[in-house]
Amino acid sequence: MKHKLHLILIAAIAIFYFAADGFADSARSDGSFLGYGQSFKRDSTNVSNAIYHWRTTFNPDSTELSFLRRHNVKRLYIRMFDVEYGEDYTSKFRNVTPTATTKFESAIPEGIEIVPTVYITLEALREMDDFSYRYAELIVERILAMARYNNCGEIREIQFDCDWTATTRHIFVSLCREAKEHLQQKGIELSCTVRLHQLREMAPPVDRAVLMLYNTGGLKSPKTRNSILDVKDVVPYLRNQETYDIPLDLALPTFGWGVKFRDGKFDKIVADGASDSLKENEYIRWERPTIEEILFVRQLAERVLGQSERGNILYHLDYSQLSNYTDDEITKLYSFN
Amino acid sequence: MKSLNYTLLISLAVLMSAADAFGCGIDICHPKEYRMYRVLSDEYQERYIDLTEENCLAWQALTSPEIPLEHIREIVYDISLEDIELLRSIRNYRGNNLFAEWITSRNREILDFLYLAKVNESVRFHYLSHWYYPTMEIDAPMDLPRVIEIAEADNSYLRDRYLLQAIRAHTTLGEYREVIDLWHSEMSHLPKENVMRRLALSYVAGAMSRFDDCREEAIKMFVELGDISSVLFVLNKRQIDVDEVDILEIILQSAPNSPRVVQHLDRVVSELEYKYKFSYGGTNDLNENDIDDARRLIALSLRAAADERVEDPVLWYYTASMLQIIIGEMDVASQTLVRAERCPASQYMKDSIRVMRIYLDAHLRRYDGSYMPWLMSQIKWFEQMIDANIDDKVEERTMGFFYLHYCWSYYYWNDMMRHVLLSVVVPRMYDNGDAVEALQLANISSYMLVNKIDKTTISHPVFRSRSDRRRYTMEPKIVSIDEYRNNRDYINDLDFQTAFFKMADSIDVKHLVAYYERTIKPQGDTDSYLNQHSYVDKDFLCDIIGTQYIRQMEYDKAVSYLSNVNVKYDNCLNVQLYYDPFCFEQDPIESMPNFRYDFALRMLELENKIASEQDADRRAKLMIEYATGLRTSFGRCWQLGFYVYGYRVVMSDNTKRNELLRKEAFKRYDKMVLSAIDTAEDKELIADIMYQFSMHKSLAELYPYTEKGQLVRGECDRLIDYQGISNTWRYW
Repeated sequence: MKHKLHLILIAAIAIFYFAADGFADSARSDGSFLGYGQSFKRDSTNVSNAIYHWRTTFNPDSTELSFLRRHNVKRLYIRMFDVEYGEDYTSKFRNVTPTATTKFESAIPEGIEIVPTVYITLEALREMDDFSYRYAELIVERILAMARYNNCGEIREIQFDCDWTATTRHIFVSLCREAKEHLQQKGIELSCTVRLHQLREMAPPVDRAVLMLYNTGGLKSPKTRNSILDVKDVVPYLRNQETYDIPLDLALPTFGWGVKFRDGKFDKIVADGASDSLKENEYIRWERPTIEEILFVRQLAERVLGQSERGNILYHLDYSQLSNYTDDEITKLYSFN
Repeated sequence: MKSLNYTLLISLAVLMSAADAFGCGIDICHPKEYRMYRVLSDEYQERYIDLTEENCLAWQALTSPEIPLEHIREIVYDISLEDIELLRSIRNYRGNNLFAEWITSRNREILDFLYLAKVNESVRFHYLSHWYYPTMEIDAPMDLPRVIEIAEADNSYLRDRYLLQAIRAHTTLGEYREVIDLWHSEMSHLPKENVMRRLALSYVAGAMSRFDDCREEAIKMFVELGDISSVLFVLNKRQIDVDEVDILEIILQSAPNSPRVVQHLDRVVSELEYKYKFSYGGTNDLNENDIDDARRLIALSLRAAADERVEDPVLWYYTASMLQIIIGEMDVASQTLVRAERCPASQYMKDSIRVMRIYLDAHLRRYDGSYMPWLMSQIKWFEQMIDANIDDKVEERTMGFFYLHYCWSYYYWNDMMRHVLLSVVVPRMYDNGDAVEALQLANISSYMLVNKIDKTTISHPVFRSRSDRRRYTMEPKIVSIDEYRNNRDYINDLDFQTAFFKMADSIDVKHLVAYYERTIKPQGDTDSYLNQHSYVDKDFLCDIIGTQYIRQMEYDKAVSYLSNVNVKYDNCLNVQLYYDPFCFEQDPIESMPNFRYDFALRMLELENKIASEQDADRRAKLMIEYATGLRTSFGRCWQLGFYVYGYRVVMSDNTKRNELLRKEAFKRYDKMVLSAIDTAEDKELIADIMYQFSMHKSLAELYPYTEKGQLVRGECDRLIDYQGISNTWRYW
């Protein structure tokens, strides 16, 4: 009951925001939108289900492989490494270096396109200022070397993931531009992730983007209800949002965790289902978006930005997380209805 | 009667001086960063650890003794792969390098080997990069497996060199068993003094440490190398609890002359030295474990020094002495150092020992008539070392002033001179009543190197065109120190942050006066020498003295010294005046040159007029003006009596002496205001004064029908009672 009331409240908030702007009038039944443009109209022949792989060892077990088959996942975004600014063990100086490189202990499942992804920290991004041409080449070459070495098949796209800010946007733009120049020669596209707060900025010079509809709230704040996904955190970003400049896919969360607090302050993240014994001054805020919440937010985003150009993407491939959703629910997340 | 009281009051103000609270806690420089321990020269690193020189000698033996080692070093170590490729392509070398000529015309086998070695080095560099990933294309003539193939196939007289290349390549590829096999099959049979064998040792030890069945042998090799970190790593992996001192003990038993031991000593002792605050009678950050480690190391060092197998006992005596200083045993350290002084030593070690000797003697030598002459000869020796070793880096860092002001280590000889003078000699002299000499030495330690380099960098606008003054870029320009001082566009970052200035600005002004007299009338060669290497500009010193007198409210003396200051000296200051000191309200003004002199002169005039003025109301007004000047000089017009970065702003400074001065100033200010009220006869004037100082309640009660009294009674919501004028928050 409490859950349903919560949904009603969410719906009321959304209606208030969008109706107040006359938003409802701008929605059309055919799925296209004013300003969305015919150039980004979804080509239904190119639509496929996709999912992120974010662990440092690529070794999907049978349940995960089964998941990929059952849901006809055709595209797998694999995080290859992070790019951080840390101490170089050879020189003892700080340097921009790749870290947490994924180890491939299994073969890539057949029939699945791999999109190698790289996460770039903000600190590393800052250090790349004036040297983006050099790091773009290093990142691209390393990604492709990894893909070759681990038999990832033909690479048609790579992705950069970075939580750039207004003051560092120009560095990310420069990095993307340089990387795209390298990739174009090889016939490879470049995409990037987009966070809600980045929507209002002009799109970086990439071929397509993925909107991350998760991690929307303040993780460490005790006042947050659900840092993974909360409609009231999402709505302000979508309100008055115009369509995005480049083709956009939506990434949806299918994970949960516990956020532990001690003396009212953030302590750590605990795995969903972990049984930490708690002291009096501690508590855990368990977070996992429900299927209704995810679908609701997806619909809100679709109303503003349009449906995913190539298909929805789930975050992420981990059966211990995915098993919290039924096959039907997963199908709904992937579908366009 | 009243005028007598006022005369006495002013006289009292003039005569009173603040208590001398300077004491022996001189807070000028705690050179915690200045490391005295010095054992690891660049030459030692190259010769004994990298084996560069030995390798070059080996090449010389293979080619010709006529070929200079520098020529060999240039080809073997400095040139790039592209340059070697170029050498291979030519038949008649026409350059100046005799080794290049030899290997291109007489012995191309060596050239072929060097080419392979450079390829190996180039490819390994890429492999070792964080960004490298297998299958990544490396722009090189061949890959590592091919390098290995060629190297292992060679059977010439260069076989040992080829084997080393093979071992390096195998290591980079992670082929550790192959490394071990090569070692056992060939390399281990080479004579122990063979340079290639010694260079290969660390690779082989590293490979062996990865396998349980070879770990013991790996440890022995690391011990032979003196590689304490690796021994610790391997032992800790086996969960054996040992520390560096234990390992050092083991290494000394089996390889007492291992060069890496020196590296470790340098690191361990420097860490302990860092924790020890080298101040005269100062405290330190050493905990019990540190002291325990230091004692163990002392015992170990003395045992090593006495060991007949040890080739460099001087190193161990020096180390023991350093550690004894760290744990506060100065006398014992001095005796230990005597033993180091008696050992044969390189010039490098001799210089290090001499510095330590100067430091210890500065502490321990009897403070009598011989102290200063002894000290001067040491300072002159430091000067010689400073002159002989200045390089671009030293120049650059001195030009920025930053390293000097924060006492960061950057130039050993200057650092040590400062270390000895500022940490030991200056406080010791001051405590013995020789404040002038202490100031002399603080000055020379602050300025000797700065004067020698006499350069700094400023940014100046370079305009795109003469007609367009809006578009410009700021570009660096090197100027002399004097030019920098006189440049109005820059705050003087040099002279008001030195150790000398901090001392001068906080010491009793009588010492500063005596010091100034000494600079204008040097008593002998020593004074002349010290003046020459210091900054004893008349304007600089008179300004500090005059400013101190303003701070002490002795305006007659302030005027006397400030009148010696050139009007243009204002450009050299790091302060300017923003408000009128005689205005009760915060009245901005344009800063005038000589503002301190003008202020002191006016305060002196007021003192005299107050003492002589007969008319009560006029005298009261003068007293108010005087009180205002007094108060603002310790408030919003602090620039009158203080400096930026000096012991300045009264509200935030923390020296006892300035705090006392501040309190005294406030007390006088209160008394002066009350006296002014008591003096005045005109009720309106009295009411005005009371109103000005927010004595609203008293005003309303005592003078209700004056203009201000009526204002207060009619419009004030709350009557602020008089609670002490100086505590009234106005625009001070």
